[in-house]
Amino acid sequence: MKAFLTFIRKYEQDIHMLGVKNPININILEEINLISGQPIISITENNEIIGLYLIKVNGEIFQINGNIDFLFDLKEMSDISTINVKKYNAIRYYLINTFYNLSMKEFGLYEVQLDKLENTIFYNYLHADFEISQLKTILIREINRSDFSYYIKKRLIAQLRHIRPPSKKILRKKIDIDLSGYSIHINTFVQ
Amino acid sequence: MNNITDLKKIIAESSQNNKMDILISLRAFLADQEDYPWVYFKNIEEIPDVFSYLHSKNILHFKNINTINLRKAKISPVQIYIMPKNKRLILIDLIDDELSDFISDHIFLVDKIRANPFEIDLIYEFLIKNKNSVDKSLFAVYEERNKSHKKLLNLTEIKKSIYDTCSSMSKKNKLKDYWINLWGDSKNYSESSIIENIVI
Repeated sequence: MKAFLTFIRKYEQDIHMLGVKNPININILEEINLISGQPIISITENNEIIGLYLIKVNGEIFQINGNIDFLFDLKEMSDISTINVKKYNAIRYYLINTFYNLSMKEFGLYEVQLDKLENTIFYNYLHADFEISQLKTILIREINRSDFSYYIKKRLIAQLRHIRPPSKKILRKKIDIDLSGYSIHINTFVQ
Repeated sequence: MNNITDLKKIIAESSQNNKMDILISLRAFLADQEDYPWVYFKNIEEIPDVFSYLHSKNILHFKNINTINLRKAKISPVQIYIMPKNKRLILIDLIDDELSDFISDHIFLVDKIRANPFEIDLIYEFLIKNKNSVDKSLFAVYEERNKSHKKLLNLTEIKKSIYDTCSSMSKKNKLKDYWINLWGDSKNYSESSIIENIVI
C-alpha cells in the first residue's frame, strides 16, 4: 500500500494522477467532481486506488473514497507534487490575479467558462516543460482561445500583462496538508 | 534560515524571558493571520482604551508590528511562509502551551473579521458577553459591523467546496478587499464615520 500526494489531470474521460502510473480502476475518479491541477492524496495497492483524500487550501484533508482511514496505517507518503509545484503556484498566482479584474456579478455569470479555462491550462501545462518566464505568453494564448467574449478577453489579457512575476517565495510554497493526529511522514525526495 | 529546531529554541527562550509579543506575532504568522489586529489587557475597565487603540490603527500597522517582532527574534517571515503546514501546526501547539498561563491572566482579543470576512466575529461575541461593561455606542458599532458582515456574505453567495478554484479564490480576494475598505481601515471607526454608516 502506497500514499501519493499529487495533482489531478482531467479532461472529460481522460484522467491521470501526475507522476503515478494509471491504476486499473482510475475511472472511479470520473464520478468525483475534480478539476485539473487539484492536489489529492491517493492510496494505491496492487495498481488499484483504494483510498482518496481531497485537500482544502488551508491543508485540511477529506477522505472521499476508501473504507478505512489509510493514513493511520502508513508510515510514509511520497510527495510527487514537488516536481510540478512551482508551475502549479505560478499558474494559480497569475490566474487568481487575472480573474480579479472581473466584477462580483461577472464571477457568477462566467463561472463555467472560468473553470473551463483553468482546467484547460492545468491540463495542458502543469506536467509540461516550460520556463516560468514563458507562462504569461502561454496564458494569453489560452485566454484568446477561450469561449469568452472579445471584451472580457481584452480585459483579462490587459490585467494579466500588468501582473508582476511571482516571487521565489510564492513559487517555493509546497502544498499544505494538515496531518495532525497521524504519524505519517512526508517524503519529498521522490525521483 | 530558521529550521524547526531553531524556532523551538526561540519559542522556549521568548517564553523564559517573558517576551510574549514575539510569541503572539510568531503564532500570527504561523497561522497566516499576520494582519489580524490583536491586543491584550488585564481588566475589563480598560475596554474603552483598548478599543480606542484598535480603532486608531490600520491593519497594516498590526502586520508591521508582527513583522518587527519576528525580526527582533531573527526569524524570517519568508521562511515561515514556505514552511509546511505540519511543521507550522507543531509550532502553533508549542506556542499555545507556552502562552496558556499568560492568556489565563489576561484578556486577549483578536479582531479576525476586520482583516478577513471569512472569519468568526470574535469581538462581537466578546462584547455580547460583556455588554454591561461596554459603552452603548461602542456596542452599536460592532453590532452594525456584524449585520453588515452577514449581509455581505448572504449577497455574495460564496459556494462551500473543498477545493477552491482560481476563480473562487479570486472572488474571495475581491470580497476580502471590499470588506477591508468598509471595515478594515481605522477611519471607518471614527465617531463621524460610524454615525454615517448607521444612518445609511
